[in-house]
Amino acid sequence: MLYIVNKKGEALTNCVARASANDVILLIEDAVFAALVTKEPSVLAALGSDVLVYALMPDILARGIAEERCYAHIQYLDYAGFVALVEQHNPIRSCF
Amino acid sequence: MKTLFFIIDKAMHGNVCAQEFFDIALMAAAFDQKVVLLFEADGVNALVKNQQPEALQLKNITPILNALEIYDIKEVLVEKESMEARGLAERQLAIAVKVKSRREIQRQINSADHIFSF
Repeated sequence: MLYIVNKKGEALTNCVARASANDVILLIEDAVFAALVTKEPSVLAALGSDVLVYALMPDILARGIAEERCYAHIQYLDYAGFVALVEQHNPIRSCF
Repeated sequence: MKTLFFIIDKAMHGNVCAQEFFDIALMAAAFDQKVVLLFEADGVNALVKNQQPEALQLKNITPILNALEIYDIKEVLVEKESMEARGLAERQLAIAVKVKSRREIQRQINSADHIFSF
């Protein structure tokens, strides 16, 4: 399953709690802030290593987020990559 | 026929989204699709008895919940962990549901053709 998340907070927490092996999480819009290393514990820390986490590059750039300030396991996608990810996964769940 | 999951995972009374969401689910069922409703996280609160949304001049969804079977929506799932976290028991719900664990639900949801959430 592909989870597309567009907010931090409850939507992301609920999605992290449910993602299991081979699921993929894509952070878009304001959810990309979850990729940042901060002094607060990461919501993403609860995920197993078998869940891939992607962040949408245009949203990262728009918010002035530098990749070196993000967690190392985050992978980055452009819009074409977004489309490819959608093609590869079924079902897809949008978490608002 | 496709299997469509409709997930209610947030509180419903703050806006009209939920009302419209139910309309989409009923419409899909009317077009002979297999509709599964899933309530999890704060969405489980939508099922409790004795709701009085009339106090907010909102439409009561309980009659819709009771009519699901007429629309051929036979599968209403509720996540066990979400019920437990909120101290809810099945007898406090307005309709008969299937309570399943998060793990069981994830297994089932992976066979869905489409997932809708609001």
